[in-house]
Parts: sequence; structure tokens; C-alpha cells
Amino acid sequence: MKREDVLLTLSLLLVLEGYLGDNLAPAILGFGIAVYLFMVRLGVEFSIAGERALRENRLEEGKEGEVELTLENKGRDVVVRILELAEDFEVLGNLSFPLKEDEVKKVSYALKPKQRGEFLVKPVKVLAEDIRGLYFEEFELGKEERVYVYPSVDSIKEAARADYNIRLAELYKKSQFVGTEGLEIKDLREYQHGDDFKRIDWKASMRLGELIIREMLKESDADVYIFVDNTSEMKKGIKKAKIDYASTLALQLAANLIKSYRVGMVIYDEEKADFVKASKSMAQLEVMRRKLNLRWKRGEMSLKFRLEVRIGERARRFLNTFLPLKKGRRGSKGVFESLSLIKQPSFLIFISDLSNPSDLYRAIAQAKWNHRVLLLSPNPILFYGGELDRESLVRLYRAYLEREKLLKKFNALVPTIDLGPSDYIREIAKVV
Amino acid sequence: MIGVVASIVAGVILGEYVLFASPLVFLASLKNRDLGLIGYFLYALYSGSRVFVGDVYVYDELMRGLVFLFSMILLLEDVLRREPRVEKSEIVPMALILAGVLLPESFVAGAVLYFLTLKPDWKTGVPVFGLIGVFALFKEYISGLGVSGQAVVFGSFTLFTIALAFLLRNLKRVEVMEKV
Repeated sequence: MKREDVLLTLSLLLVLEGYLGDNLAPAILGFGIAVYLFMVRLGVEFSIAGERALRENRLEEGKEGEVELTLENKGRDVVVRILELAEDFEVLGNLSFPLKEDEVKKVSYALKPKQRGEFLVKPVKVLAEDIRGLYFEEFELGKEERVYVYPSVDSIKEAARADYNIRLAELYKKSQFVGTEGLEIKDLREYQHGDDFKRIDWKASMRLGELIIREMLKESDADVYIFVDNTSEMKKGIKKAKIDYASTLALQLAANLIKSYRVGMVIYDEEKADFVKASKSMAQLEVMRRKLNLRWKRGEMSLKFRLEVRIGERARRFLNTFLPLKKGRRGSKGVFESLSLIKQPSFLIFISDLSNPSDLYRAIAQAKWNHRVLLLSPNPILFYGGELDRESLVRLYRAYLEREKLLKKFNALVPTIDLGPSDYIREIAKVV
Repeated sequence: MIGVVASIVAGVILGEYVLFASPLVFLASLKNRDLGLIGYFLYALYSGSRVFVGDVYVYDELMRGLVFLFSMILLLEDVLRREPRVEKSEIVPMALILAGVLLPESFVAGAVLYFLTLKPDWKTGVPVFGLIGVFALFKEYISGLGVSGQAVVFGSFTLFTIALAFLLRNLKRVEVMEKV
């Protein structure tokens, strides 16, 4: 319904009220509102001219490019809103302001490219609304401009780091990697793709004419802690919850590792953490098994996934503001508590679906200073148990794209292995 | 801000205290224009039932009608413009409106002066003078029709004005709850 229609309806209702109530006051007001709208309609005049100038058309990824827009109002007073039709750019700055009759105004705002490449920036759309907010008009200013976005040095570094960690994750899959390395050299071997550069033996490399890697003896006294994410998102699932998979995986890992290392466990949720101190005995395995009797919420689909796909951008923004107010939604604080309890450098294996990515990211970044970290992540999309129709496939695909971004971010931090229900737990447990 | 002042003065002139509630509608519009518009919608319907005007041919009744009409239209202007400051152009009309407590004609003069400062198009006068002309020319016939008969005349001119408004200008209109 238009705002003007509200007033027109009111005008007619007032006349009716006057007729039925034998009272001229509302009828006069009804007529007055109609005349008022007539006057406003005739008085509205939109005429905006101007030019857009991009300071630079060669930008660096993630860096802002300044845009200067000159506007001239040749009509009556209006409120102007600038709309840049550039999906590949984030628009930063105050884009809504009043513009008086005959006023000329220069406005600056910034365009921040979301990705690298070559883009065509369309003419800027200027929406002018009359000061009473009843009518508007659209104007297109400027011309199409080509913008080139180059990769930034930071993004290249990050990509290299992510690539390194991906290769490291592959290595985790291939070989036994747990434990801290001692000072004794176990063996020398040829350099393989993904090896740490720091381990290159330069003298041996010079002697043999090819890159040689030092393999160190592993010390088996390092502690291993398995962090199991037991937040609400992990507990949800139609047929099988991620927590089922995670707890089986954690137990298998523990059973394999306890033969050589002291193994501990942390089961954390939104409010607290259950900490099992590292120890090397079969009784420890039984303690962990008892701790892992975690329940899942049968038949409940992942809320996050459902929201991800069913609601619009505005509603999502609202929920992002509102949901943190709910107890426990602020994320998994227990993980920080338990990290503070692990004093000596250890090997940490996180099992999480990344549903609280910001908290987990901070926790892992913090843990990385003292410990070696590996992240195993059951992929919620692969655990989707609902019906597969055209709509849900589109939703799954969108969720998949978002998760890919998230995995890339985590991979830049620590080696991250994406897991699905068909990944054989025993094999993962063996290789780790 | 002139509309809120006018409504309160009108409340004093008409002895109708419902008009003192106008600042609430204005405050709602400052929060959100659509909220103010909906508030005004309900407020106008309710206050219309509280103020009584029986015959436009009786001078006092006509003056009551005009005071009520201008106070409500000025309030609508405030609700839509959402300007809490008193502008320079409002000072003289507001002084006249305040003097309306003593002389109701001054209130009407102030309101008319305010609308003249907005430099309305001459075509706005067509339905206004048309209505005055019809009431003047057919005085005997219309006064015999009674209150509801006179309301029908107002209704006819309301429809005529709306039709004229849509015929003369074609504009893109803003949706309720939509920010352009």
C-alpha cells in the first residue's frame, strides 16, 4: 500500500463518517485532506543533474576506491539516496542526505571490491524523495566505467598460507603426525611437495645436488587433547546428528592415540566445558567413553542451516542482532576456559562443524601460539538428511559456497580437514 | 512544529481536549514516518467524531469547522515533514494562530498564510473555489438538505479533487514501510 493511499482512504472514510454521523466536521476534514494532497502533488518537482567521478579505476583487492558525486537539484527540496548498482563492490559512506532547491553538493563515498577481476560499474542510481515522503523519482547519473581489481599482497600471502595448510592437512591424512619432534635426526630423505622448508638440510642438499629433508625422531610424551564441540548446532540432525559422528570419531582417535601418547579430552558447549586431563591408560579411555554419551535432538534440522536459506537479508541482520541476546548464543566460551587449563605445549585436535566460527577462530588462533592444532570438521551440508528437491538443492549449494569460504579462512590458520558421514572414521583415526 | 501548536490552540478554541493529544502523533512520526501516518489516521477518525459542526451557513459553525480543518491539516503537514524545529517562515503564521485563542478568525488567517508561503500552484484553488461557489450559488437548495446533504456535497468535491489530482500529475509513489 502506498503512503498516499493511506491518506486518500482516510479522506473518503472521513466523508463517510460525516455523512453517517450527521456531522460536517469530518466531512470538511476529508475534503481538506484531498485538497492538501492535490496541492502537494502539484508542488512536487524532481530534477537532479550531476556527474560521477571515480578517482581510480585500478584498485587493489580489499582496498577502497573513492568516488566523487556532484549533484545539482534543479527542482524542489528533496531527500536523496545514492544507489550504486555494483554487486561486486561494497559501498561505504553516507548515502542518504537532504538536498535543497538549487543546491549543488559534492558527495564522496567509497567502493570496496569484494573480489578481484575486471568489472563494469553501471551509472549510479539516485533516488529523490519529496520532503513529505509521499513521492519519488529515479535518476541515473554518470556513465558505465570499467574497474580493474588486482590481488593485494595480503591476499596473496593468505592464499599461500592456506595452500600450505591444505598441503599439511594432506600430510596428516597420509602419515602419522602427532607428537612433538625431538632434536635427534632420524633420517634424511628427498624433499616432497608440502614439506616444511625449515627442515631442509642445506649442507646435505648441496652435497647431493637436490633438496634433502631432515626427519626428526618423534617424542611420544607429548599430550594430545581432543576438543569435541557439543554446541546446539552439533546436536541437531534429521537422521543422524553431527555429534554422533564427532563422538565416535573422538573415541576412535583416542583409542588409537592412547597407545603412544597421553590423551585428554575437552567437551565444550555454549556455557561450559568438561575437561578430562591427559593420561595414558586404558581407564582413561573408559572415562572419555562415559563423557561422550552425548545426546542429539532427534528430528530437529539444523537451525542455522534452515535460517541460512529461508530468510531474507533484512531478517538475517535482525536475527544476528537479536539472537546473541539469548543465553548461550554468544558462542562457546567453554573452549577458552579449557585452553587456559592446558599448560604445556600439546597437540590439539578440534572436532567442530564451525557453526560458531568467530569464537572457534579466536580460540584456535590463541591456541596456535603454544600448541599444534588440527581441525576436523564434519560438514553440515554432507550431513543434511532432509528431502532433496530443487529448492533444497539451491539452498544446499548456497550453504556449500559459504562453507567453502569458511574452510578457506580456517585453512589459512591451521590445517583443516572437511569430513562427511562417508569418511571412514577408523581410517581417519589411524592416519592422525 | 506549527501543526502541533495549531492543534493545541484549536483544542482551546473548540473546547475539545482530544486535540491536546496531537503531540503524541507528532512524536510517533519523529520515530517513524509510517507510524506517525497510522497514528494520524486513527487520531483524525476519532477527533472527527468529537468535534461537531452542524451547518456551514451558520458563521460560528463554519468557523469551528475551519479551525478544526486547518489544525488537522497543519498537523498532517508536521507528521509528514517531521521537522521538530520552528522555521523562519512559520513565525508570523504561528503568531496569528496563537492569537486565535482570542479571535478564531486570526487562527484561520494564520493557517491560510502558512499555506500561501508554500507557494501552491494556482490549480489548487479550483476545487476550493469550486466548493465555495457551489455553496454560495445553491444556498437555499443545499441548506434545505440538512447535515448529511451538505456532507454529500463535500464528498462529491472530495472525489472530484482526487480525480483531478491523478489526472494532472503522474508520480511514482512511496510504499508504506519502504525507505526510498
